[in-house]
Parts: sequence; C-alpha cells; structure tokens
Amino acid sequence: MAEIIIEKGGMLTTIQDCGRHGYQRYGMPVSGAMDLPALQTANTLVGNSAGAAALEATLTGPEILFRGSCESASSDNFLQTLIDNFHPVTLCTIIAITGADMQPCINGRPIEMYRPVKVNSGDRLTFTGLKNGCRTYIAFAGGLDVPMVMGSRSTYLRAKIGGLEGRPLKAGDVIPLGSFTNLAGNKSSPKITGIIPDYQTKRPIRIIPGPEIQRLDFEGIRTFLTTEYTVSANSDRMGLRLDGQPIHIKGAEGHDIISSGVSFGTIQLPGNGLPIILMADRQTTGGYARIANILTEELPRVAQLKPGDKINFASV
Amino acid sequence: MLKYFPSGDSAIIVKASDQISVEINNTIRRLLTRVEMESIPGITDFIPSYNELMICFNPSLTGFHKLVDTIRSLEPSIADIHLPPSTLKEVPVLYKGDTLEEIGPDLEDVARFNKLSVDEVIKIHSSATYLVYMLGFTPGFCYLGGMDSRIAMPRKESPRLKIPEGSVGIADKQTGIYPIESPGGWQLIGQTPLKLFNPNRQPEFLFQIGDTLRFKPISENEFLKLKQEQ
Repeated sequence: MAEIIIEKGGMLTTIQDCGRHGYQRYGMPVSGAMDLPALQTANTLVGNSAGAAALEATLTGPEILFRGSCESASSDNFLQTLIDNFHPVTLCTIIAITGADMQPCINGRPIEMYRPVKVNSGDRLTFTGLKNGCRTYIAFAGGLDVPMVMGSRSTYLRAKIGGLEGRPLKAGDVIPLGSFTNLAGNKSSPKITGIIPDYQTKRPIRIIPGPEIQRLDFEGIRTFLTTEYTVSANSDRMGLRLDGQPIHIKGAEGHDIISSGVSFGTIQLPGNGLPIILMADRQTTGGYARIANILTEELPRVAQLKPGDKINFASV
Repeated sequence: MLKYFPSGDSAIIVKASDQISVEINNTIRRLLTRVEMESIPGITDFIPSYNELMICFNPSLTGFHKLVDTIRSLEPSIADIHLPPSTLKEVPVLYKGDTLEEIGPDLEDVARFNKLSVDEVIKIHSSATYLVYMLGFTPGFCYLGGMDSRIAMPRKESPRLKIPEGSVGIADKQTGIYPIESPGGWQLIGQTPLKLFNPNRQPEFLFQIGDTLRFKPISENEFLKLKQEQ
C-alpha cells in the first residue's frame, strides 16, 4: 500500500476537499479548498473524482516522502511480479500540483505544475519557494485516505474536525493513499494549458451588490469601487481583511444587521469601514452589513492573494 | 411581503422582515419546510436565521431568477405549512461547583451587577423557556430568545481567549451555550455537561431551529456523571 510521510509541514498545510455541505443550518461552516477549481483540476489530472481529498499548502510548501506501492485494484499477480522483477523502482502514486507556484521538485529536480507526475517509493517532494499566489494544491491518485466526517474530509481547524485529526499537518504524519485503477498519468499526457488560471492579472475583482448595499451613500460606493485595498496580515481561511480607505456608511442604520446568512465571497463592512471577504472557513452567519458578493469565478484569484497583495473591485 | 436578494451567484436571500419576532421566525421555518418539500434541483444548503432564509445553490444547475420564480410560486402555500409543536428540551447546568472552581467564573459578577443574589440569578435563568431562533457563530451555537432582562449584563471588556465547551453565558439580553472551545466575551454563569455538537454522533447536533430549551440546575456529582456519559 502507498502512503505519504510528512517530513516538514510547511506554514499551514491541511487536507481539503470540496467542503462539508448540508449542515449550515446548524452553524457548521463549509470549509473545503480556498481555490476550488485548483483542487478540482489537480484531482482530475491524476484521475480522481474532482472532489477527492488533497493537500492545500499555504505560502510555504511541505516536504513529503513517498513510500510503498500503489495497489491497483485491477492488478493481477503476474503483472505485479513482472513489475517487481524488471522495474528497478516501485511506482508509489501519481501526483499533480496546481494553484500557487511554489516551484515543486522531486528529488531536487523541478517538476511541472498542471501535469500528472509519477512518483516512486522513496521519492521526495519539496518546494523551492513561492513565486506567485498563496495556496498550492497537491493531489494524489487514489486520494488521501482519511476518515469522512459529516460527508467531507475537509479540515475545519476551529472545531478540530476532518482531515488529519482536525489539524494542520506536521513532521512525522503518515497519511495512507487510496487505491486507484486509472493510470491517468501515463508518460506522455500533455501539460494542460487552457485551465491554468492567470492569478497575476490586475483586473479588478467583479462583485454583485449585496442586500445592504443601500447603506452606502454615493461617496461610500465610490470609495469601495475606486480604492486599491491591501490584504491584511490578519487574514486566514475564514476571511481576508483589507486595509485601505475606510468606506463611509450612511448615519442611521449603521454597520450592524440582525445576524443572517453569508456566502463564500460575501464582503462584510464592520464598524471600522474596512471590508472583510468571507472565505472557505467563514461562519455561516454574520452581523455586519453585506455590501457585496464576489462572483464565483473570481474567487480563485482572491484565494491566491497573500498578505500585502493589492485588490480592487468593480461592479458587474 | 417576502423580499429576494442575490447573495452573489450561488445563493439567494429570502427576507421576511427587518424585525425579530417569533411570528417572523415561524414564517422562515414554514418557508424552509415548504422549499424543502419541493426538492428543487441544484439547491445545496439552507441557512435560516431570525428573519431570513438563505438558499445556497450550484450555479451550474440553477440560478437566481429561476429560484425566485419557483419560490414566488410557493409563497401562497407557505401559510398552510403546519409546523410541528416545538419540543421542550432540558439542558442540565452546573452553575457553581463545590470543588470545580472554574465553573461559572462570572456568576457572582452578574449577580452583583444586577443587585441580586447568586441563587436569584440561577432561579431566574433556569425558570424561563428559551426559543432557538437560529444557529450560527460556531457549529451548534443557538441564538436563544426569552431571557429575563433582570439578569442582563454587557459583554466583558476584553474577551477570553479560551472558553471551555459547554459554557453557559450572558451577553446583554441574550443567553447562550458555547458548543466548542472558542474565544469569546460573554459573562460565564455555568456549564452544561452535554455535548451540543459531536461529529461522531447521530444526530451531530442536539438542538435545531424552533426547539425550546429550559436550563435545569444540577449538582457537581450529576455534572460529572453526565459528562462521563457523553
């Protein structure tokens, strides 16, 4: 059987899938990958279903040692014997890396992103350093075989559930890989280019006005749509806090609302006038004015912003 | 009467009013029941709150205008939805321990602030019935209505970094229970041995919107016994 051994955890590496749906009425956050299309693409490249559990690494990558052999469910003993006898190395799994470019290497040699890569038992995956973006996804053929909690393998750190014991990965962790039959990563699969997102574009993030947009006066809306905001260091999987020009709100109604539902990409305006973008680990409800929502297709670019990066908004 | 707002391109907000009331909350619950009866394709989740229902959907399977049309067509039948009678659930609470000194660290402050005795605070807190208007904030956290304003007290000036799970607190005119260990600024007056949220249990959550709760004072022995059973 195949498994991965975490030799270094990286800054924040967690197991994520497409999230825990259906429990928000009980106050249960969805969680899941911050950059969902990147997770789905990585899974597809290794022949997994798009929502299989993979790793999400933040700002710095983990170091991973591969061990064991993939147990192809359809492999017969004769074939296995041939492989054992004539192949000097044991295929462990197939990986694909998407999202932020942290310059991945196998045994010190750079590998391409957005492409399935075969890895053998004893190989080591490392990352040289972040070139762009914020979050890298590493998918493994067969997926990460951790227990399903309420329909998902996603880690939700605050409640310490999902993933591996509900916590970030650290050195010494061993995670079994699921078995797979579909050898999607055979030698000459072309690098996929059409689906590699351009995280670097400076195009404004497109928004749809939210239910409390009318609490902004003309000046407030102008500030919101013309200011270049900076992502604060105080941002995490729950939300991105922005620094910059505070947005003015009309007198009477204020910033607070009766606690109500929020979504992935809801932009809240708390009392200090600085917007907060709600992300994967957001609480299900919030008490601040919901001035706008980011379009779903723009969320990957937002998920790939790191502290200090700039962001501005445009209404669709 | 119902107002519709998009929440981005993957959720819709149906708003019943700008007020908090039992009647409006019941309308939200009827609406939720009615929409669920339809099994509309593409809907992924619901977030009912005091006065709104958020309906989350997969934008590749349905859309805002389509859902608004569907739900508008259901509006006339919402009033006919018969809500099941609210179940009264008992929440055992240890207000002050004999040896467990960490229980209810702010109970005496709440009594002093309201010029009551500790026993009076316990009596007032445990004799009311509370309605679960909604859940949110953390998994299993209930927003409760119905607290007697005689025991109200503002939040602490600096929030605690760690509040143990099961803590029962007061913030202004609200009372609530922390289902998981979390930071928070509520005045803590006791602790329940019940696990409001346990992902490995069926059901995972003890309470749901529309339930009514009553707090029952228990002894330290009962607390420890119940805690072990969880």
